[in-house]
Amino acid sequence: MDESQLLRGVLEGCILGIIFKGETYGYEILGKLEAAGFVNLLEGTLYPVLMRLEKKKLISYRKEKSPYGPIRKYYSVTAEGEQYYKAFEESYRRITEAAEKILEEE
Amino acid sequence: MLNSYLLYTQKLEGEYKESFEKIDMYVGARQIRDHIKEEMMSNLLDIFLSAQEEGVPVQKITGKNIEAFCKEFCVGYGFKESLMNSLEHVKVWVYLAFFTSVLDMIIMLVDFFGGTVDNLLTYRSEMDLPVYCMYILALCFCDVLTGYVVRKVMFRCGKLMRKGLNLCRFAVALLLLVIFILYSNRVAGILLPTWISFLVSGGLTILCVMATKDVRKKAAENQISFKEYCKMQGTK
Repeated sequence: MDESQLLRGVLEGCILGIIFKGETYGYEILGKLEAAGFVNLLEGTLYPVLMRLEKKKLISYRKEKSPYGPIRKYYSVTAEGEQYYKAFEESYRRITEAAEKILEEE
Repeated sequence: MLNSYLLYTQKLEGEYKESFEKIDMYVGARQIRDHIKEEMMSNLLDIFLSAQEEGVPVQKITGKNIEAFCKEFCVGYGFKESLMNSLEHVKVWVYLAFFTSVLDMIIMLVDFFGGTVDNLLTYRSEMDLPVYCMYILALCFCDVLTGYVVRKVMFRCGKLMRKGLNLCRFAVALLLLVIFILYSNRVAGILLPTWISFLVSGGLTILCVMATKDVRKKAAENQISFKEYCKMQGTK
């Protein structure tokens, strides 16, 4: 089954959730996603999601030179981002509860 | 000076270096504006260096299909971005063309008030300004077209060929310039009036100023001192 459709639906919320828990940066986000079980998630997929979140003003960033030299962006959630994340959490719980009921019945 | 990601790419080794170079070339051919490219590649380089440090295979970052990774990485940057990038690269020529068109207009008005010119709408000066404007527009078009060709071809050829592709792009631009210089007199026979050249170069100038606004702001933010740069070179 092609999981990409399901993935796209939740990825934005999950990435926002990771940033919501504390200021973080790209590689750390990738690591946390992989640790949570999002395998085969590529940085190429992460970057467009972060861009969308920035454009929607759900996250903001500050720049700092990384220990390796290049400029690194450290992301944090804005007030709108916090509200959006809480709404996402609620919607996600509602949908998964309903889906679980149907799947359990089978 | 600019704290560009290019200062740190030498820290990459093996498969990391090879993959990063391919992505860098693709993003360059994608004709994303320099300040946006700088931000994207700096972020990516940081991730690559972190992965290299931890011994994480580069394919964990890019996947097996690097071409698909590049397309996903550059999603959201289409034709408009390519055009803005082309304008950024030809801005010096555009400003020069506008400057000469202003001089041209001044000469025209002096001649008009001096009684030597009857009709402002048909006046045309000796300068080949219409040709320069046409060259600028042709250069933008070629830049976009050659970038498209490079992107399509680069993953299907070897390292040497990839280096050659960028040289080819430069050669095409140079050839175009030579053709225009050689045939400018013949082309100038179109006899476009001065006021049209002024409007075209003025319009291009406004577009260039708009296209480069973010560049100036981002470049000002991302600076390191020369002393810091020397220190970094010394500890390589």
